[in-house]
Amino acid sequence: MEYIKKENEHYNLHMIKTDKFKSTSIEIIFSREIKKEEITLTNFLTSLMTYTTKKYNTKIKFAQELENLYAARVFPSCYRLGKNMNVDFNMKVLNDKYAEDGLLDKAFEFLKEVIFNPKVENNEFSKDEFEIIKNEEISQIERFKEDTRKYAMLRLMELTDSTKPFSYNLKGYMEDLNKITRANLYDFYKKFINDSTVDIFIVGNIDFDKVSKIVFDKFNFLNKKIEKDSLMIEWNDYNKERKEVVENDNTNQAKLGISCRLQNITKFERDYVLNIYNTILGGTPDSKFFKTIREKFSLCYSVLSGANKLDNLLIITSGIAKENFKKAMILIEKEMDNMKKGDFTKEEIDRAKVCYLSGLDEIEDNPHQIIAHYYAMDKLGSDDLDVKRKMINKVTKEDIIKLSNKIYIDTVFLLGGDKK
Amino acid sequence: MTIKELKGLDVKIYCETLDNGLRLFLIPYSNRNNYYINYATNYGAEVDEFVSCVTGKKTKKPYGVAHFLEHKVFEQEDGIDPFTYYSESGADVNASTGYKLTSYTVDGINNFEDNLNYLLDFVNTPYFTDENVEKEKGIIIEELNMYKDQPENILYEESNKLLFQKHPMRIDIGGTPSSVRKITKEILYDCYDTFYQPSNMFLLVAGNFDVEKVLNIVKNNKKLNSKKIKKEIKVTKVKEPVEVNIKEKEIKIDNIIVPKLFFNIKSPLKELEKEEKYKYIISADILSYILFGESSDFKEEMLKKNLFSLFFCSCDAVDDLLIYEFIAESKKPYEVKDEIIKCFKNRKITKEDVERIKKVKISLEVMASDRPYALLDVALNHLIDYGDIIYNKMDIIRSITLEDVEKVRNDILIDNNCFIVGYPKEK
Repeated sequence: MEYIKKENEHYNLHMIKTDKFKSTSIEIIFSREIKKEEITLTNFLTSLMTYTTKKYNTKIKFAQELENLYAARVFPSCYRLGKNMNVDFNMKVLNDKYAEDGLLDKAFEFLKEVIFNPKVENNEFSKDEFEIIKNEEISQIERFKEDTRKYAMLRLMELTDSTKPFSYNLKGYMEDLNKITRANLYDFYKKFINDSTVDIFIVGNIDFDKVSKIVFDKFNFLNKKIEKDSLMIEWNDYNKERKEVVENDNTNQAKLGISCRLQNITKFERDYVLNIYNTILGGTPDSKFFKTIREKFSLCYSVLSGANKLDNLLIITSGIAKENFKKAMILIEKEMDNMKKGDFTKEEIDRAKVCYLSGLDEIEDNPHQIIAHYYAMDKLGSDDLDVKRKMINKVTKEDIIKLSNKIYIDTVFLLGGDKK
Repeated sequence: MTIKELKGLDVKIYCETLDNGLRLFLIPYSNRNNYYINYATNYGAEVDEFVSCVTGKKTKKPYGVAHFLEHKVFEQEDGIDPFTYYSESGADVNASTGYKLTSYTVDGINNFEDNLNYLLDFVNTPYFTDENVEKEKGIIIEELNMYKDQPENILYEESNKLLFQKHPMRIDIGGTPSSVRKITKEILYDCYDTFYQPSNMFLLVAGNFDVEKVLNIVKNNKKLNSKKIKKEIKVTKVKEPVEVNIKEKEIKIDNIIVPKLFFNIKSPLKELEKEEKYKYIISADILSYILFGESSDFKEEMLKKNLFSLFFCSCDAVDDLLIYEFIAESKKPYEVKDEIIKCFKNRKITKEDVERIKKVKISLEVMASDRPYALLDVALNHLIDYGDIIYNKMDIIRSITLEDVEKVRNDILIDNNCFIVGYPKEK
């Protein structure tokens, strides 16, 4: 696997050459500071951009062109990375061997059309598509509450701190949707295309010179490259006292969510110790949570912890019977206390390290993970694979104990489980 | 050992059947770090009545027993937890139960030989006690409760009750809380000893590994090879009538916000030789893609009329039946249903449509063959549905003509359908 980064004054092109795959993956990543009122706009816009274009001006023509490109797909994924909202336009095309010569070139041509030639008339998006996508966005926002697990998670984050980006609903908001017009959406399109930070990634059996020429010829972004601040969400104004909220809902299972602050942790703790801590505590079916709360006390089917280092948060989730709420909390806190006391073995640490290391070896097998890895190196200052391998092995028991004393339960939230 | 090729995909499959009946399918990839192992038994939730290989008597077990067994196979007498064992080498172990299959999977980077050996060990050494069986019930009931709060899941279960008169798919794979409470260690051993015989099982491996080493491990694994008995397994076949059970139903669901519909059309599937059957089912798939897929006029028109926001169509064979399934989110569900029927009856299909969608199918096969775990799933499904892997599937897809697709369309019993709508409860 060979990595090359080329840049012009407007954006970066990252190319990774590998002969592992029968297809080539392309991702165009737009990144900008997340603003609550832009989330719905971003979803609306990117759905519209991947529905029709000026040239492929009906859904049928758009979809048929992708079929003609050997079942290529273009889809946007919108997600939050700390303080930023990212949109990836993903496209995957077969290698020429399984399709036809020059397919990659045609794929770039199609993507160019998607990005630069939306179906716009008189400085506004055309009416038919606008209405269709609006209906889809309405359902998407309404549907969100149907998934009690996701809804409980959002409520937990709102209760933790409703001013921070981690409490935003990435599915969007109805009141924002109602304000969107064909004209102001087009204004936002121009902002989105011209003010975001743009990175283009290509993974496959490619010729660096050929591909970079195609990309720099076709993609004439005019964006300024800005040196961004850290994406990390810092919070000094945390809840001094633990919050506990129980909301009723007529469901069979109660969803439990616990947010924990990570306070004043170092870079080494954030990048490495946290990973080992989380794996031991609740990251896998070999964890303390799984073994105690599920296997020993049969309180749940799923219990997990997950660390979000850019948000300075550790989140614990489970699905339980409502009457077991107190019992589950006692067990969860006990396991967290045990971590502080150093009540875990060298074997548990070693297993967590091996788990981390094999995760690194897996990256090469998956184009999307390859891109995520290089993106994190470029944008978040993550270490390269060799450094990561070295650093994880430096984590000691004392490091884990020290970190566990910097983790505080902030908010406990229980939703539903009231069905009789 | 025979070597077969998935033609047009640059994939070789090494096949072997051991003396004890275990069937091996090995798919090495020269350029991957990961390996994926799937050790599966041809036993799932659809087995209702069978002759126990322990007692020799016909027996029926509580619903959800195959799934319960899947959980309990992880229990080991020596106290070693398979999750812990695998995490020592950074590998993952998991399991799943379907209507026809129970699978135990391991994937990882390191320690391939020991990890394969241990998979054979732990699946072949059941250890069920009154205590550990009792303990599992709380976990499984919470698993069932989780699904019972998901609107799509409630509708799927309910729509199967409309679609099938007798077929075990009427019941959820995990059973019900009351059936789960009835399960005992004796019941588990009875099912285990009957269905976990090597002759009823498959071992599939894909990714980064050495074929010879697998063969060596499998032939020398003591736990596996101590199970030599090859008793015939007799399962009472349920003959599902072609007619749907109930035509229509409306239900209110607590946490649904946008109304949803499930619409199924049930048609007979003639008995065909495996490659012909594959061709027939893929032709049906192509038909549904042309009529209702991303590039269909149906979808564009319906979106323009705001008749639905989400819409999926798929078709699947269930024994000797072919089921077309439609799922949509719609405020006018009855109109959606009428439009689907109209489209099935009236929409013209051209040769160009068929050729374009064939190209899509072929491309998707290539992409799937690039993911070792996806290829394992495809292979296992073929083994269950066709009795063998369809090695020349690319040629079969290429051979499909407009006439094949039209024929499939003519065979559809369009009026033999059932329809369920889930509405929000008025608050």
